[in-house]
Amino acid sequence: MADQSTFADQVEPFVDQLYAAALRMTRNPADAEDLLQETFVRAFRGFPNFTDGTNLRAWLYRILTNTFINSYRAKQRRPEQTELDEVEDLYLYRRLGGLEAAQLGRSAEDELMDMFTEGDVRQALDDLPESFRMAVLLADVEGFSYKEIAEIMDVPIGTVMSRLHRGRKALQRSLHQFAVERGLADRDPVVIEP
Amino acid sequence: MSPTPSASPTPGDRADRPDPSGQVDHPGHDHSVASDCDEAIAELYAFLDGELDDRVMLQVETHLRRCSPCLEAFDFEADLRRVIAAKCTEQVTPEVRARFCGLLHELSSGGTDGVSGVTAPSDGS
Repeated sequence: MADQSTFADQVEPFVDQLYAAALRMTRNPADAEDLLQETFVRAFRGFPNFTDGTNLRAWLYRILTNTFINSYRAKQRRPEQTELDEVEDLYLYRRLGGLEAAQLGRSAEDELMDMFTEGDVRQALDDLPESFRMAVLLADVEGFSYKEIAEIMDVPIGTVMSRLHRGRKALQRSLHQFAVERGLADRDPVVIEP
Repeated sequence: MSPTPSASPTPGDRADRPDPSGQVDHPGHDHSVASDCDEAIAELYAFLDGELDDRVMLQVETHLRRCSPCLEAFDFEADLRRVIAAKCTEQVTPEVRARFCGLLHELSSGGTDGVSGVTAPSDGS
């Protein structure tokens, strides 16, 4: 049973990342601040139910995520579909792979950093259905494990894996589209068959 | 390059004809291990997420050591993930941080419960 008087000291290290996460979820600073304030109040009230020494970070993100889903998601115009078209494995690699050859001494990571803007990535994430976007953010931006994501989103681990697999591949398809629109990639690449 | 007969069963005759489902194949690669590539790629995300059990992870690592096309694909996916994370940085202004740290301390010290304005009893009262 955590002591509420220790709340500030324990939670303060997470302020920056929780605000950033709130901003990614709500996509505007005013809503992000409201969301974060509500999250901290709920966290404080629930703190007696938190067991010291357990995963505080995941516990806080769960409150943040629940508060977002209950209070803010309804306000926003978000894709509602939960079905994603099946996207093949290695979607982007098969269309962009071999980037290292494009410029000597530069890695694929350097090429990708130059190819996509922050706006591209934000838009590609925003185009995902909400539950897939949330899973991808929690895994690829926040670095949570499957088990932690399952706790945060209150779904089975299998659901987490499925949302991640499909969300990531859909993200790649969106990113490829940005590259095509900029003339950096072919729309219909030649696929080498054996 | 015709597949060499193997003792272990190979799923179907995949190596003998182009697969219309678009699964990855590597030109010039020994097709008798094509199913290994498919299996490795099926585990790609779990591998990069560090979620594989030791046995399967070892299998994937072994495959990557001897299959450079797959290794390149795995590296690309790892690079892409780093790029996505790097492009998602959001800046917290000092004012915002100060405001929330202030809120946390107010809550902790019992000065406010943050919403209704009713103050909680302080320690010792």
